[in-house]
Amino acid sequence: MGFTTILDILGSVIIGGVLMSIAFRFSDSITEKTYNNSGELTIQQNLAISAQIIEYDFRKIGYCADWTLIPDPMKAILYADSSEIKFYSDIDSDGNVDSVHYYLGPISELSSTGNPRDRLLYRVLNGEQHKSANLGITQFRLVYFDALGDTINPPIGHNGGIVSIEINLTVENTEAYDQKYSKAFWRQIRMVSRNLRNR
Amino acid sequence: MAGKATFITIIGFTLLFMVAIKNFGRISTDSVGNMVNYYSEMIAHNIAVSGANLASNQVFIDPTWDDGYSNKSFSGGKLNVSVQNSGGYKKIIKITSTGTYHGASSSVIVTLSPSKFSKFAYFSVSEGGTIWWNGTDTVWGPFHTQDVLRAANRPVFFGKASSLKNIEYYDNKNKNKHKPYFLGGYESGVDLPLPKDAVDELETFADDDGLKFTGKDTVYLCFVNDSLKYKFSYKTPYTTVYLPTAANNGMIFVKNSIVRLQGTVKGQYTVACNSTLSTGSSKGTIYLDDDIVYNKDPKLYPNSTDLLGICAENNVMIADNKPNSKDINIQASIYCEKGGFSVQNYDSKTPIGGKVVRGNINLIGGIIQKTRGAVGTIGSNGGIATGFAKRYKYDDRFLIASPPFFPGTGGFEIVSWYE
Amino acid sequence: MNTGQTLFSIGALLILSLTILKMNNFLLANDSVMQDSKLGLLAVSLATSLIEEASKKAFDANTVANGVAACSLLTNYPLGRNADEIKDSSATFDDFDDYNDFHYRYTHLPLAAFDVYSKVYYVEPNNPEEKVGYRTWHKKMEIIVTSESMKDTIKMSTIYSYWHFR
Repeated sequence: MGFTTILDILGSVIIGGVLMSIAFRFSDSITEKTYNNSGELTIQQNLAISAQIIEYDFRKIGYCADWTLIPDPMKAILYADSSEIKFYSDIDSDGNVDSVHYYLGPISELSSTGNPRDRLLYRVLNGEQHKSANLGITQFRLVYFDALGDTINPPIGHNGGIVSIEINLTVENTEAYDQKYSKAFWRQIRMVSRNLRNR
Repeated sequence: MAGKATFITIIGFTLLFMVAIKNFGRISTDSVGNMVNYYSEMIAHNIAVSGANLASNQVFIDPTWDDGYSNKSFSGGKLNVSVQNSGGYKKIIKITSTGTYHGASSSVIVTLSPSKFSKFAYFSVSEGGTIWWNGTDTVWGPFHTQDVLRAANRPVFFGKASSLKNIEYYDNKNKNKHKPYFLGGYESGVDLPLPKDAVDELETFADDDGLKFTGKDTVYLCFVNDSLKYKFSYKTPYTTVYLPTAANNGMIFVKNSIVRLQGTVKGQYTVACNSTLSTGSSKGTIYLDDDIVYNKDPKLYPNSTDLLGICAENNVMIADNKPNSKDINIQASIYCEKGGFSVQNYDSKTPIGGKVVRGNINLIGGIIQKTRGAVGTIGSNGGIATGFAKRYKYDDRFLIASPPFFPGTGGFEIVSWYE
Repeated sequence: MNTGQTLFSIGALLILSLTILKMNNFLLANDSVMQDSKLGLLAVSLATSLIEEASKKAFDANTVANGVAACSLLTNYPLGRNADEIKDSSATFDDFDDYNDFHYRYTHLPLAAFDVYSKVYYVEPNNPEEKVGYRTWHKKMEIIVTSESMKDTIKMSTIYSYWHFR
């Protein structure tokens, strides 16, 4: 007992403190990693499902199970802009022409989320009540090309000569740990539905 | 005591970290699964598209091919293709290609239908040498030429355009100034020859429940709705027949003669005229003596069922006469197997009809011809100097319907592609 | 503090160090897997884009402005671009086999730089996996997408055949 004891106690307090701080710091790091990884998984899944839905729809531009209802598929694209497109198709292949409308909502719609850039991507079928889910989409950009491979400047009206579309999609976390948003990006240069090569 | 406490605390943290690791492991496994799932879908889709391509080539070479492919290995997956011929008079071919890859599956269904020349707004084998499609030209429906597509000052093609040869620009150093607007798409290298005796073959249909004229030099035909007036010389009176009885199948064939045609058509008919001489004959030509229009104009009545095909072995010409000294209205799909569509005395300063600049050709339909014919000349001021100006519009109904027995291309067209 | 306590402390330190080391390794590996998955999604889309782009071209240099009735009229090996087409510049290509020995490096994408390679050769429909040394109506394109930021290599292939329906 005495000075050595005090040193022992001091030493163990310091070492214990260091150990504790390491452990707590690491725990904090694990928490951040858990949050970020879950977010990362979410954005990857959101990106994949968005890409699949968009590809499923865009491959069918101008298609109809009863082809006489869309005899000239090149007239199927009604309106095209840099973040919006409306076209005719037969999404469920039931022989009835459907209209499909994709557009991005304004940033202000999702002001409640932590991410200041996320927007709703709407997919409206046959003019019904629009449905959307907040998938963290921050960019849905369309670039249009004509038959000679030149870009067509939007907005493009009916019968605008669109032969292919480049689709750029970016998805981010809606919330992030410490404001560090993760992002995932996807690009597709589609031959916009082989129906547009018909007739 | 302190050491034991620290040890227990550290053990506690370690257990917590192990739970976190398990979570991370699941998350990373799910992310890999997500990527692999997307990859599998894309591979399956590529396999299906590849199968559709393989089968389309086989059908292109041999339209009767229907063997298909069964369980072919490709790209790590399997490829299956089946071909159905619907048979009957419609002859629809359906190619179904399915690609499977590691549980993912994708299908492509291609539907093909026999292709008719009547679907073209404009078709030519030869563009006549140095005729340019220019900025004042608009083709409102499908276009094809077996020649070079010569473009100056950005002509507009609303329907799909195709050519066997390439595009030639008026100024190759300034292509952007002359690039056509292909609003319906464009494809080159498409070989679609005109048949050599499709008009001759129409005689068979006329013999079977149609109307045929033979042994006459000239046949004057005047449609009066669902009746047809005919005569064989200018001064004789017309004889009238009721068309649904006289030409029940819609085929009106004039053998080895010249036809002079006009009138208002009610119903669906094809008027054909051939020549029994292979070359150098004036027979096999159809003159349009006046307007030839539908009872119900499809632009005003989109559900109009009136359709007319005018098929000449040689030429279809707008006659140089008094009735045609003004605008002429033509509603039909015009087919010229060995000649072209043109205007009689198009460049004459002293035409028979009396007017040098006669008016507009208001055509609703299409022109299919071997050689592009002239309908007028352009003056130094850029306006029409002689003959007619062109006002051609397409009849959209020809995309899904055709006049009776109108010549087919002999091949198929894709009417729908599902993927 | 007695020896036992000291030993406990040392043991705790040891366990903590090992745990943290293992955890760090695992976290880094995990990050790498997540990154690969994310880049893999983009790589797949780039490969598909190349297929779509090539499928817009003519089947063969000899079918750009001509119909071809026999395989012997198609381009023979070696397949590749013509003299007037610029290496690795697909905007100058006019037919499918110009993409043989093609390489393009994407440097402007948000996540990473990607290299896309492709090879084109003739195949027979009855055995579309095997390259044949003669001309047929079918060409197969093999695409490889790699990135320095990604461990995986994405491979895709497609078949393009000669047909036109008008």
